[in-house]
Amino acid sequence: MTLYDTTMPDDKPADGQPAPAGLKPWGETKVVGTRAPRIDAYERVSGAAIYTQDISLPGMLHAAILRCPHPHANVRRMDLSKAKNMPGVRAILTHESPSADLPWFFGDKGPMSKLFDPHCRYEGDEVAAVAADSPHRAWDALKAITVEYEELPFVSEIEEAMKEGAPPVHEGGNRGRVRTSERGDIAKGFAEADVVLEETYRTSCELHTPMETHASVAQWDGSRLTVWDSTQGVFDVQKTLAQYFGLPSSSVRVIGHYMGGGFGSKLELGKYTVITALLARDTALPVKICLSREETFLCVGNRPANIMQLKAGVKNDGTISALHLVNVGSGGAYPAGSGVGYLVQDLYLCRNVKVEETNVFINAGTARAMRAPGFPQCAWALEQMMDALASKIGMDPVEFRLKNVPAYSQTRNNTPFTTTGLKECLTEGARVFGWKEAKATIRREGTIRRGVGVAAGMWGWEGSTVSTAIVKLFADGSANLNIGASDIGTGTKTVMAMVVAEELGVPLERIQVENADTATTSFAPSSGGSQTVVANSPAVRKAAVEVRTRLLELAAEELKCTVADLSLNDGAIQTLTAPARTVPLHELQSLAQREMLVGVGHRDPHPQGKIPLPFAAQFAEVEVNTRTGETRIVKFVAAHDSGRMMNRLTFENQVFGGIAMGIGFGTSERRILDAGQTGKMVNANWHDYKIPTAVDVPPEHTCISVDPHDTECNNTGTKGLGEPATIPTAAAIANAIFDATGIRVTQAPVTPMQLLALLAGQEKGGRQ
Amino acid sequence: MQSTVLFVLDGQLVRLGFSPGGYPHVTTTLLQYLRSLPGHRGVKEGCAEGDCGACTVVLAEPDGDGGLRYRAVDSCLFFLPMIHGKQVITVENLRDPSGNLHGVQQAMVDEFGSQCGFCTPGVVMSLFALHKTLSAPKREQVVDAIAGNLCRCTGYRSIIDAGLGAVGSGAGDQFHADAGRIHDLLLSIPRDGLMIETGGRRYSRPSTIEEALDARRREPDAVVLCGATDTALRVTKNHEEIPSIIDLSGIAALRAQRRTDAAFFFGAAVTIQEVMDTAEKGIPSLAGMLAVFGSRQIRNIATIGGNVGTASPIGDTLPVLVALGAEIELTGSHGVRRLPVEEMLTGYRRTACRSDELITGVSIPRIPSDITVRAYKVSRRADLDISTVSAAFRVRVDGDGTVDGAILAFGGMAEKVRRARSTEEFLQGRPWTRETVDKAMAGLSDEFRPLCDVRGSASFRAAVARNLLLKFWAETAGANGQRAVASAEGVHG
Repeated sequence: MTLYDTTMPDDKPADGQPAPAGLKPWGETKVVGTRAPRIDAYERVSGAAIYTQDISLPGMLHAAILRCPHPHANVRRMDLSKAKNMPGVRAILTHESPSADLPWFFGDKGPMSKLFDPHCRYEGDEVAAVAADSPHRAWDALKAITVEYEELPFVSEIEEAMKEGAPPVHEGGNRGRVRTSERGDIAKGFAEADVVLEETYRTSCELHTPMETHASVAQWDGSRLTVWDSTQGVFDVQKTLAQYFGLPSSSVRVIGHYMGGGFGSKLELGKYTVITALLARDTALPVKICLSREETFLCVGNRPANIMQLKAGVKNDGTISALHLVNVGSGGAYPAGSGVGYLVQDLYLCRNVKVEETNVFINAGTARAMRAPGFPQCAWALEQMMDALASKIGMDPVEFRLKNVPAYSQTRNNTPFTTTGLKECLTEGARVFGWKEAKATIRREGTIRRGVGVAAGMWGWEGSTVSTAIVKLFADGSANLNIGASDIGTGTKTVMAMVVAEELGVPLERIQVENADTATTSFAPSSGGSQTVVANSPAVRKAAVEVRTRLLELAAEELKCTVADLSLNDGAIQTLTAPARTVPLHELQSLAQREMLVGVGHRDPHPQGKIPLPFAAQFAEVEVNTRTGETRIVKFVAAHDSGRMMNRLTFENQVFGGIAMGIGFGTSERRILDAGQTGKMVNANWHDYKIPTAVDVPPEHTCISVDPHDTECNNTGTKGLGEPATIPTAAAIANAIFDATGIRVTQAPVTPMQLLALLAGQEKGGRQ
Repeated sequence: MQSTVLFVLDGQLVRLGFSPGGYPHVTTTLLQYLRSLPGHRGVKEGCAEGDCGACTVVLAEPDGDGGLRYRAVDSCLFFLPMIHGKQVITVENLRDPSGNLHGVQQAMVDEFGSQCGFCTPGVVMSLFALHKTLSAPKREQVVDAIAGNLCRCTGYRSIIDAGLGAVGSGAGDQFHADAGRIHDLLLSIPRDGLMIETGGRRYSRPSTIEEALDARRREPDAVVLCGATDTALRVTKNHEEIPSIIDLSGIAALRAQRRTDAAFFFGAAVTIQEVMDTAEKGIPSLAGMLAVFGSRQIRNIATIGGNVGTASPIGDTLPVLVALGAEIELTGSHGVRRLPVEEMLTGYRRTACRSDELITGVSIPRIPSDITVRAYKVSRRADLDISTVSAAFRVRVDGDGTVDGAILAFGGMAEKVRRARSTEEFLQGRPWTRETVDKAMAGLSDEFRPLCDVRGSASFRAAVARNLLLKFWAETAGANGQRAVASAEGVHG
């Protein structure tokens, strides 16, 4: 068995079945894969792009929401008399308003709360809402509402919430049932191990904080509702709104052209949108709401905090014999999930794995999916453990990982991956980083110590396959692409236009994209979970190919040759046989007569018997100041197998952006609740909650696309990128800090405060 | 005194009046005002407290030399009367009349510097101000220019590349062509004081110190502003109505700087950025601290007088001013007095400035070459952060290697910025060695009882304070006890 052999002799992967026949991914490409600037860059850099916050309609009112200032309280009495009579105030909603008496659902858990729940379970819970003729008057009216609260005992920390007698967030206690999944026999696996390590890793609650705060504008036209929403998925918002208002989907139009970032916090319908629509109906005027920055810290989601006990057994030859993860997390006051187990189960070969996960309620804002939900947390534990195991058995951490690269998904009956680029991510990344040289020569002594670290990752979801695209070719040879997908900043419109350009030979600047409007565009799933390119680009390609096929048939008829004799390039038909002719599309009579050719593409299902997932490996070099505990990331290399790289510029930006977010998760970002006294969040603003700035990103920063030329995943050869970019980052930094200092920092983020305390302990106890 | 605010927007002179019950109000921010206009929604609100830079606009003012000076500011921290006499440039103004993108915008397109795009207008304006000031900025200068622009999508690489790629884009743009006309237009705006009264609220922006003292006498309870980076938050975040404001930013005399052989003098309304520019040429310990004071947009608004007057226990400039032996100039109806910074700071956000006085300047003596001064700041993020602990140390070491005069000033360790007097006394006359410093570090722990808060625990602060002293010693004395030359001063270690 060689180092790179990734199948074990006695493990038989499930039989792969051939992918459905049809369109195969491109070989050579002309447009796809190039450094094409955004097709909507002009609007974005000139200030012309209109975001939901910029919408202004005649007569529009402005809404603001009164939120519970306590972590746990009952609303006893409210006095609205003063607010009602203030100038410009048009409507007030509370839990006593009949129109606002609506249940609120959390996932499939049924109605667990109400739109305005008088039992407030977290700071920021909705208590009342006002619509006034200016934002200032709305806020002034909120200040004029007096509320008598019955403050209740609260609990802010996971461990406290699990204790006997802890204040219950819900009837029935705070601890959810333990969800267990197991394969093999971990007792046997640990018995076989030469080395067994056990460690508890903790991660902090991280906030999405997109640049544009959550915002909606609602307008009624009789019984039809139009909503502009800063969302990642217009169809999901449409569907849920239609249910809330008992309307047919066709009567609810949701538009989300430009949106200022979401990272998962804008994947679902928010209470603020329903409230805005209710206020618009009650006042018969359009109403807009823009949440304040502080509100985005309290009540529109977060990445839950986790406590992960991980036990791992390894043989001296590098075989991982057993993994046991016990995770307790808190998604806040309502069920939102805090599971993390996937990576432990699927990133490396291991026959004996047990994962036990428990969600615990605390009196704090509810979690929402945040960029690779669960994965950076699990990578924080698993990838530090991998580092520690490698060190114990005297194996290089890159080689140790290489030895355990899976060719199939162990969580899904050993179904093979279409491709596993993890090996190439590790070897190429290590080569570009200069891993071996750095390991050998780096300076780990003195007050300024350097160290290097590696971490790997994968994403565990293939994405939806429900997507339809429409391509229209005009008689002048320009084209329109109609897709429902939101461009959340990743360059969706640009990448999809590139697919059309590739197939139709139409220059990018002659392609117009119409997107994210439930009334005028075809269905696409929400842009999240690294599925946007994967779910939509194959549908776009099929639509473009349909147009191309029809166009060539028409041209063959008109030019009196066969389709095989024709090619389509740079907006013109060329004959490949004599006499050589080039006919620009606008001169094609058969196209002119029809005015437009339309192609519709539906995305094919995933390949049967194969799993398409992306992989990554990231490498960090850090500098630790042992006097102040400050860490500086001096160099970073990210190697990603996300299948085909659609656009070098979008690829780089996604990866660098993911790394920056990972740096925040690993070194500075955490929600701080005043657990001892008030239970309130004390850093609910960008002043005290620190996301990375331009100063905090590494000056030396490289990313590599490792394209395994996946011919089976889908017809564009793509796998997701957004999530994997941020999964291993924090763990790679932690491993580099260990390399520099000999200190294993198990609590994220690694603040100077924490590191300095650990360094002081090390000085007393001697270096590990 | 006049009651109309005059400024240039979209190349035209705008006269803005205020009326009771009307819009805008005197404490309407420039951001709120711009977004209320149909043509300036490109200016975004990300936080309304100067943390994110999405609202960055550029202000142009005569540079006193016939040209214009461009600076990026957070429009969310600017009350409208503060733009009197200035040109306001927003992202919408950057395209030329035919709609062609400005060089910095084109660079952002080429490098894919925009993802979700919500921070982009602010980023573009920061880069524009940079390129109107420097023709070919270096990486550190680009990073400094955009450090106050948060972006949650790109990881900044593409933005930094755009900043580097836009070389020369500020030189031949339409602003260059129109600079003469704008300059004259701005000079035509009267520099008289402003007095605006609407619905029981007063905003006075005197043009002389005498007018300001008069206003202070009339309204001793008025909030005195000199930059407003702190006060603006009371309006934007707490939705407070401030009954009366005296804004010192219109007093030309307070914007003066003087340099003598003995000292540097900064008028109270000199911005932190202007202080930093001067300090880079003569007070490196101060320059180093100011470089991490906050973003450029904040440094362009905040003033040295405002920072002293706020008297925050974590104010970045204060420890270094203490170590440098700076004096605060207070002007009252009875005349001028000068107080050492330390005597000026009387408690938590309290100063010795009397209700009939104003802070009118800061005087910083030149430091003899045998004295070393350095400043340090430790926070949770490299830039745009409030200090967890800041410190400034000053030491003179005699020819025989013993300490002759030490000042150890700390921020973030007590209710106000304070010196470690006992430790200073302990050091006096002792050899400047590791052994002495170890003992001094132990003594430091007894001098302060720091707080635990969001920024750091008490034990962390105490440990950092001790370690910073050790770091200072290591940087100023070699392993063999020889004194190193204090040429390069820094803030980070």
